[in-house]
Amino acid sequence: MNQDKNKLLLYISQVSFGIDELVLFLDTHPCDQDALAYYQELKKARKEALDEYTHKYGPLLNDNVDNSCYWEWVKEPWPWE
Amino acid sequence: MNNMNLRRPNDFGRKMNCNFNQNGNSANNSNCNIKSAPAFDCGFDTSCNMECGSNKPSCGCDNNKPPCGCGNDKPSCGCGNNKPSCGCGNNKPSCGCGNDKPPCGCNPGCDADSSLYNDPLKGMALAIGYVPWQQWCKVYDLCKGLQQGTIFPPLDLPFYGCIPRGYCKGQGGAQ
Repeated sequence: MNQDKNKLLLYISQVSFGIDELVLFLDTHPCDQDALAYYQELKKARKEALDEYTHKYGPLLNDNVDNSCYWEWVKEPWPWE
Repeated sequence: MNNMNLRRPNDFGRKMNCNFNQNGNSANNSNCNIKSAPAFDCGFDTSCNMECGSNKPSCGCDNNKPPCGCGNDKPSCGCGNNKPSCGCGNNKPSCGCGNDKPPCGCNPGCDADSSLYNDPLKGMALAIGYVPWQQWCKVYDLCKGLQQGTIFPPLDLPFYGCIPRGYCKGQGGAQ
């Protein structure tokens, strides 16, 4: 796995974890404006990172498959490969 | 697992509203300012007109001696744990402060170095668990959040379940 791909994957992990944490906070603080604003920020950042990854390296999640002519999901290495 | 949008059990199948008035009722406007914690009705009778036990209005019904007459809860009784005439033990008037002060001479073994004096929860009711309400504050950078296992600095707490001379020797937390 090349360096850029690795870095992007790490960033996606980081931002996804941040969202998981925020969701837990918002479950108990549904009106917190700071948390809501940060949630929107991270959601956008995660989408952009996933889009970039998908564009460069193929779908990371099975709902990132954009090609309607071919199921690109199977082109990527399987977890054990 | 692909579906990461499962509802967690703590949702309790109800929607939380952003507006609570003093009575805990939701309002319909979009103002998100919560002025006070919602006072949920948990179904308990909160009035003082029970017929038995230490809450009986007429008193004379708890575990204190006749002069005390009352339970801990009726203000006019003046008795309970704090009545001056109750004498020593936990109630000695000159102590005015529980059972630790020297004049009482009670509770041997408790001194200023005792953990009792260092307890951050000192003064709070016993046998009740507390989870302080989390406030929003500046969160960690994303890279540090993943590294530490939380994006919230106040929740980045040391882990005390270490194996001696193990991976986290002398340290707490993830680093």
